[in-house]
Amino acid sequence: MGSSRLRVFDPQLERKESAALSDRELPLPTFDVPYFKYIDEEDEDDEWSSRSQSSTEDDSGDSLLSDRYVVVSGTPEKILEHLLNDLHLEEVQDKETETLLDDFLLTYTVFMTTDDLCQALLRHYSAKKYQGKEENSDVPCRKRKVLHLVSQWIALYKDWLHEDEHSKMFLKTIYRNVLDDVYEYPILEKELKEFQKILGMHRRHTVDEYSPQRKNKALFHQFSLKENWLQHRGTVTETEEIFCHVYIMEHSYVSVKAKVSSTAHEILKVVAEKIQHAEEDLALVAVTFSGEKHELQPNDSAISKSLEASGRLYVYRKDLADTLNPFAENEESQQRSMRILGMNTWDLALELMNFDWSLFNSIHEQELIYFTFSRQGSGEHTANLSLLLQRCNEIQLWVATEILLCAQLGKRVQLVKKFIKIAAHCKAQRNLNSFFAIVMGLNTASVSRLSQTWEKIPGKFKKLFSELESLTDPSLNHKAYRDAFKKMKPPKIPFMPLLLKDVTFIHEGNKTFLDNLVNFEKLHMIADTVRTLRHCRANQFGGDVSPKEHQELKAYVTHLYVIDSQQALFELSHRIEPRA
Amino acid sequence: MAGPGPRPAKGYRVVLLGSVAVGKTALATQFACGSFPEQCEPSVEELFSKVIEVNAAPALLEIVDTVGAEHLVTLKDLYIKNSDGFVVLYSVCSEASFEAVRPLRERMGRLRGPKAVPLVLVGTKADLDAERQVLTARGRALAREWRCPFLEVTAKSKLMVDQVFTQVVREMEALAPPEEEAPAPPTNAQDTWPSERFIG
Repeated sequence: MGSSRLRVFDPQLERKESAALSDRELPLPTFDVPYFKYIDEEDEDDEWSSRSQSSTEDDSGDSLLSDRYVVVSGTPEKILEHLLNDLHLEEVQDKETETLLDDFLLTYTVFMTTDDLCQALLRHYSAKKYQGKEENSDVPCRKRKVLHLVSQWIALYKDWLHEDEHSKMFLKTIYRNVLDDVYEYPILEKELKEFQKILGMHRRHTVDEYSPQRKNKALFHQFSLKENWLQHRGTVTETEEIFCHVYIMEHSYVSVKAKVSSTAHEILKVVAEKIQHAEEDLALVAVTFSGEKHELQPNDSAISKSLEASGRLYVYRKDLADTLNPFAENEESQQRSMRILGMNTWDLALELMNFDWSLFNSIHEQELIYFTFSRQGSGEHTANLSLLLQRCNEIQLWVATEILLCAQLGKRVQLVKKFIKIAAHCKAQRNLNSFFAIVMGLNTASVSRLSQTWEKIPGKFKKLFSELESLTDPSLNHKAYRDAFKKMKPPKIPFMPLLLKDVTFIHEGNKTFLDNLVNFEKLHMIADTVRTLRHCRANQFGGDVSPKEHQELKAYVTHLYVIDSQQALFELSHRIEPRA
Repeated sequence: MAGPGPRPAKGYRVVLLGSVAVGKTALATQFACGSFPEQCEPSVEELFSKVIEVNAAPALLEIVDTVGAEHLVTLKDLYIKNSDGFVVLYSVCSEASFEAVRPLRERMGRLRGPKAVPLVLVGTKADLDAERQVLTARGRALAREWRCPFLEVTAKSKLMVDQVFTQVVREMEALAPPEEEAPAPPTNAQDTWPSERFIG
């Protein structure tokens, strides 16, 4: 299930990790050079020992040029040199160079460590003479090019750069160098000012890293209390938002988005409302894997308490006698009010979209690179990406859960119609991630088998659903979806699982190294996928524009109640509509 | 990838089924690209389609790698009913993925009736011996129970992956009706939607 693959994105963690990395060998998803031996496992050679040789050997085979793309393959140093040679100092680069620069900066971690790149850049900056084919081979020109590259680098990576010890040191060093050099080469003044501006911004960022105003860099932490991989290290600031799962039973939970500082009382309030149970009757309990129960007091900090012992947060009846059983055949569950039936579908879809955008916007471009190349799959560096994937899963489950918990046929029919409408709205609002999720939720076997319900769906809705479904047809490599999505103007949210499948496909289907040279065409394709993300996120204006009246709706889509067990869903399905 | 010449009239759809992380995409990639150093672009329409020979006539085989469905049962029943063949995958390094295939088979049986289903059982990641959790014998036994071919493969080997699909095609040929059958009359509401569009 989704949460078992999630990690905490903890910048403080990164700092400690990178400092300690030199001391010990840890199987972390980092890009230390020796790691690349694993990328193309058919290659028996030791990539790196032969690499250091080839860079000093003759340059004839060092970079292949093709018609389609400027750099096909090369050693890391040669690629960097080629790039610096090609950079123009006018405002606008030609398209090819711009793309090459973008490709390089996005993917360098695949074939160079950040330290390697820093060292190489310093060397290029300080070198006294060159063998390059640039237009003017003078020293200040080269310096300016290096600075231009560095400012692009900073622009792309933003906070990730100054969380790395090597790049932090590098930025300080090069800044000092530029300060010195500006006397000898006054032409560097422009670059110096630019540099100062960028570094100044960075300093500001360090101070209030977690200020809630930074809407594009909200860091979401997922605390899956299921596994014990979460060894709580370092401190997490109070205002950060996290997602935590509060379990009702073994496989059903409410996904709660809360501040780290939230109290048990605040969490209980959210949960009680979702499961429609009186708050007074409930207790929040941290349960360890060994089964020990620890009831949280109303003012206890819910998150840190549950982190002390690795385990889960459960909601119990006050007497701790039993967990609640949402499947119990009693008055309560029969009359579970379908609050969603009273909500406006367009507004619901809007709130879904707002939520999804907050997740989508916080995905750093590098997360996609890490996702593709990291052997362990997702890790600390792909937290926000994982959250959006998990959201896709949870929406599917939410749809099924809501429908299957509705014991009355009439209301259930209304519910299905409602979801069909919401799906249509998601598509209109260009949120394809939730669109797919809702359609898939409606198509899940436990729901699609409810023939009595589906029979009563009016023809008009059936037709609409059929049209929506056809967009999810996987034939011809998801042609229907791809064509439609391409036509949509940004901002738009893609169906993330397919995007990730594409990037996995590029990775699996193309070698990273060809004869000890970096296969830059592959990296170009990966970078293209990152640029797709960029394109999708273009043209946004304003942030979350939920009016006050929609706060209830907003809360409704933020905290989802899901039953994450196919067996339980099937049982419910058979109970409400037994097999004929 | 269909080369020059008319697109074969008959199409076969084979669905890849299996838990997350068993390597469906790796298998599909190998099918689509082989191990050529030339580029493999992910969004090409006919990426997962290949011309094959079935009963001495050209046919278009399309493999469908389902995405986004974390749980197998999210796959629409209609696909299971209307697909021509299945490759059921589990990873030899994951006991959980092996256990997940049985309910899948049961569901296929429920949806398609007692007739034999063209299917191949595949254990992936066979090269990761150190991490093996499921012995070959168990996979073989299950395949015997299901009366279907069984292969342990690594997606890294083009040869092995080709074998998987050759086997599926053989199964489809062997179990194919002598002539085109009309689709079964709908038994419940949702089957009134046309199913032809899912084939070929």
